[in-house]
Amino acid sequence: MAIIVKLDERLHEKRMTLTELAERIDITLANLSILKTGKARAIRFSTLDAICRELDCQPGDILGFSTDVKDT
Amino acid sequence: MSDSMDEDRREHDPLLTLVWWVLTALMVLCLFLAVFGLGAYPIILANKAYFVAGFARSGIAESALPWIGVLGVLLAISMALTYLFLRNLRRMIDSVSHGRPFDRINAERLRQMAWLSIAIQVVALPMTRLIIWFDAMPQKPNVHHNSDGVSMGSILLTLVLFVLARVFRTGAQMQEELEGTV
Repeated sequence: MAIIVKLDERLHEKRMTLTELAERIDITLANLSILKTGKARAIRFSTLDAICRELDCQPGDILGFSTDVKDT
Repeated sequence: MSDSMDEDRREHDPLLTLVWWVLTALMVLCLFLAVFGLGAYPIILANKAYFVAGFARSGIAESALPWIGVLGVLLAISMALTYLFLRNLRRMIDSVSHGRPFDRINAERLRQMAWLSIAIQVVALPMTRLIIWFDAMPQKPNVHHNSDGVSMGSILLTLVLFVLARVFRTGAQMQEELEGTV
């Protein structure tokens, strides 16, 4: 998929771990890992809303589009 | 958490549990009848004099004996097909108990069940013809049969199964998409 997830960078900037974010937005670590590694097929607006709120960012800061990434 | 939910589903659905046991009983009956169908003719041959006399009293001619063997084989085939049909249905109930009814394998099971129901009806045709023929032996009182082994209900069942197979396949695709949603 050409959509890339930049959750790692944002977490690093905020000095927050994936586990901590998972607890704050009430989502399982397994599901958040799926999102972080780009294996998710879709993301709910509610999840995106919670992540943006906790990381104080815009959706575009977490998600990006790259033509270099091959479709899976 | 999902494991405990599965347990709950299994324990609190008495209908599924009841149907599961009924299907199991029917499967055992099918196996018994299949063995009976295959074993009947050799037993008749082994005790030919006894059975010929018995059949004569029932108005069935001795020349019809080999056809009883054919009927037995057809019965065995029909019961084997019915067994497979019931086994698929029982496995679908198991999948509901495990919390994954909309699985691609269930769509495939339904498709197989549709073909099996066609096969059962095809086998039922010569079986019914043979039974009518036995009943219509000259010595017997004339019995009228309207059935030819295929009923409207059977045809409808086949159509419903084919439609359900497609519904389940689409359901499985939707479930897979849902599982990939975070």
